[in-house]
Amino acid sequence: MAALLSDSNLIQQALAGSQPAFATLVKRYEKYVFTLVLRWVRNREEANEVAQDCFLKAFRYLGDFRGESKFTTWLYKIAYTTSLNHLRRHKPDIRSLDDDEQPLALADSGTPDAGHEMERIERQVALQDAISLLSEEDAAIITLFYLHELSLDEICQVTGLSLTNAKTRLCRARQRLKPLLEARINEIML
Amino acid sequence: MTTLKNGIQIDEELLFDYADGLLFDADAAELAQLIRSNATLRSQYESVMAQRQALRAVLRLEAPDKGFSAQVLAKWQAEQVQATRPKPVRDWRLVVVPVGLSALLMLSLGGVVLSVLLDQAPAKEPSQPLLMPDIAMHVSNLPEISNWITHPVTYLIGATLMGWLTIKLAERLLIAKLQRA
Repeated sequence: MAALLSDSNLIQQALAGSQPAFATLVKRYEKYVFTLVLRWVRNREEANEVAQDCFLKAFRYLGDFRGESKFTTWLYKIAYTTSLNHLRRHKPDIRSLDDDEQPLALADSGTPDAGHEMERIERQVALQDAISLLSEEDAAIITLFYLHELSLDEICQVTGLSLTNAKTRLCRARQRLKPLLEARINEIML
Repeated sequence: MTTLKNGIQIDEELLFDYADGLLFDADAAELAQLIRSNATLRSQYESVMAQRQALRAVLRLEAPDKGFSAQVLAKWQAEQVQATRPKPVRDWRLVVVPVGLSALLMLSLGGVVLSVLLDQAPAKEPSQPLLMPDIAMHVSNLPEISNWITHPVTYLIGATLMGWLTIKLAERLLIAKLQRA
């Protein structure tokens, strides 16, 4: 029953102290928040903790949510800042494509006579890892845009970036992923 | 390179913007028309769409660990219980009294040790003659007062008095604070 309710209804119920309303909100957005946090934290165990903190913070400040933006935008903003704070505290050194302006290339198979199957697996793995090899900011933006389907304006609300900056980062992330994406497309076509 | 009427070049980024719905309506309509009529552009657009599709396929939602929701709710409930529980009132007298007594003891011992050390220290000869010998004559009983001041019992009494005053003051402050709470 609660699962059919809108976010605003659930928020009202949660503010009134309804535990099922809280539970439904968590269930509804756990994957979205977790995925976004994972883009930043890059470690499932830590991402679990950080994502839980995000929900707790959201519940703590639920009364401050005015409904001026979508609940998800507000929630992702909390996820964004919580992840950022976590990174500042814990992340020692981050390997990022920000240091490397070249587009992401496929990994060398190592042996000249590596078979086609090996190449295919490598491509798949490289593509899966491609997002995590982007800088945290770029990975988060591309995730928010293509997976969470936020508009650029909403992404700006979440990240605090300017519209131009957000768009530039989106383009840059796409360009860096392009070789891998094209390789995947060719693979599918074959 | 083909351009729109407003002079914007049609490149892959613009096609992405179009596919992502980021263009103004007029530009989007014009580009849609061009894509329909221009085979090269159509091919480029299809390539962009394929890349978008591949990107969306890669960007999948990740599931957190099992029991994630339950853990969040458990933490939330624990937080609520903590928030509603009345805060225990600390009896600061349990801290102030032992600390005060210890301070008193330390002061007394310190005073005794100091007085013993002063008694044993050799008296220094004044390096310069007194400038006002008349005054020195009037206070000729000064050495006796000095002996009385440096006596251990005096230190003990002084330290006891100071300690007692400290405890009473701390108690007053504590009572005022508790009354406010």
